[in-house]
Amino acid sequence: MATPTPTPTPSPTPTPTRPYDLVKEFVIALVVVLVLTVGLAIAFSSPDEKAITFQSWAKAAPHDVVATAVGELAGTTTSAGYGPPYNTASAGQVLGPLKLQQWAGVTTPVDSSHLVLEPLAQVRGDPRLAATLVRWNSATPSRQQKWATAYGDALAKAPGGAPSAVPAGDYGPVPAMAGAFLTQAASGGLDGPLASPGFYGGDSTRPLLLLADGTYLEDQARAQNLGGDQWGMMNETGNYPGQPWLWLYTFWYQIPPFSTSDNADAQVWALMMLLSLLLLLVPFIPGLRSLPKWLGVHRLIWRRYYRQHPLH
Amino acid sequence: MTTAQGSFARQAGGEPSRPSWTARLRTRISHVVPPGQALPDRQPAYVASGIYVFGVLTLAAFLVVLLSGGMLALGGATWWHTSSVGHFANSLHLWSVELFFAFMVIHLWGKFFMAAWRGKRALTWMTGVIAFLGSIGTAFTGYLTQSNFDSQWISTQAKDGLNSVGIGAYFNVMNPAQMLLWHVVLLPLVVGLITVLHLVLVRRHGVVPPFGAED
Amino acid sequence: MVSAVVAEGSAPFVHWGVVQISVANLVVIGLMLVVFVIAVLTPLGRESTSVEPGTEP
Repeated sequence: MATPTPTPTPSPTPTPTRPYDLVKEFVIALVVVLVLTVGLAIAFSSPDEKAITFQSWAKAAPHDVVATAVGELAGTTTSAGYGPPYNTASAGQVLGPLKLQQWAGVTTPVDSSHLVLEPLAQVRGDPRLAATLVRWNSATPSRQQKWATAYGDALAKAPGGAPSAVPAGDYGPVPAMAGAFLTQAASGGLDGPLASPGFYGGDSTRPLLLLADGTYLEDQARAQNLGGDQWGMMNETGNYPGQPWLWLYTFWYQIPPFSTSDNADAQVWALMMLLSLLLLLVPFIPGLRSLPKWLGVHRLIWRRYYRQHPLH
Repeated sequence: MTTAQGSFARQAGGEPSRPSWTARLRTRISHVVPPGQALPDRQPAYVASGIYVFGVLTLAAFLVVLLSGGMLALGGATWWHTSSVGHFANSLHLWSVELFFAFMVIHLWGKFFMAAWRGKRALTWMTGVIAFLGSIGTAFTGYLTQSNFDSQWISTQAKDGLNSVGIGAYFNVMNPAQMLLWHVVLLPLVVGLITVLHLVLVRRHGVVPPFGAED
Repeated sequence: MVSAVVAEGSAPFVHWGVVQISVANLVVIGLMLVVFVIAVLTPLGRESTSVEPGTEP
């Protein structure tokens, strides 16, 4: 069945019109935007802060690399205890009765200890390391965790987190493994083995989880006000405008109850979905849809029209 | 004249017993917008404020975003790190995006204060909001595609928000191979389609009249 | 009012209570507001002499 011609905008009296060149308007707009874009690009360029490599991380914060490696082996890092979609170590965040994170399941399985063990296992020509790994792999999981946790605690207490300042203790092969991991990182040997799938890479999930388990990445970010509690979602590296349109999304993270909530991410997401829905449905919401009339900005916009057709 | 085929065969000079899908689509398309209103050369006299140009400025900026993005695509996703031409293309893309959002939001403010959803124009407002939200998502995948420190930070932060509501299980912000294709294929297509819908609706229903001028 | 304008890293920021905003973002938002006001107050097209009444689209 053919669609009937839509009724043109109803109007009690025929609306006066005047000539207007829409295509010319578009071309002028395009020229204006092009000039502005080129001008801004020439004047200000754009930021490009180099990615942190494992090598640069090892150079800048070697103790952080060691502490992170030990944490992966002990299962105490953020990724190790994350929950879905990486593992089942935690149930994740909830929204009241809704356990959306858990229900979505483990679709990107990552064993955090493997972030350390796999690269180490690839090293050739180091019989001591090979023997260390044999010792680790033949121990029971509880023994492994005891060694790694003990060493992790000792590192945390040592001045500057320096392995050299750690007192003797029952740490098993963990210190040797962490040291070898640092050496591998410092030589640039870590920037390949975690790539997935092999050779072509493309999926940076594992290297990024490992990097984010340390403190170096966050330290660098916070130094530029990119942290979550620094309105960081709005910001850009360097002296550049960022994403001002995210102001309301990041705002909630700055205030209670979200700023101290374990489920802040889920709560803020839900709140923003609700507010977006409200924005979408403004035409149907009584009160909200009448707000423009009461605010009166339209009197300025249509002042020429109202001169000839005064509002009552 | 179609070739004689089954139930759509015509007798010479006669009408088909049922209109073809082609004819029905043609009729439907021709009725989407009132005659002459697809590209009219007159407009209501009440369209008399500078605020009215921000829709077309947004559209023009969208085009420059696509063009500068296309320039980046010529050299590939990591070209801009090592080439000064590539870096300039990136700068064009960044600033056209900032302009795009600035013009779009000013356009939104204007349309809100005009209550531009009046007179059966709710769908025009709604497609605009969806285009706005879709653009934010598209920009987000763009930031993830920079293959630099910013991408490393944004991905490892944003994953928490998306994981917390189960989306991260299927949309992996730490997977640049996935994010790049969402950014250059899937999302621009969707945002583009919604923009076209939005424009068609504006032409279909005309510019909203002032308060007091409507039925 | 504003408690500090601090250069953090390589960029200046404005601190006002719980609000922290980069000067760059503040300039963008400020410019948008100014442009909006100018746009609302600026007429588009001439005060019509060639208006055809009743030529409703």
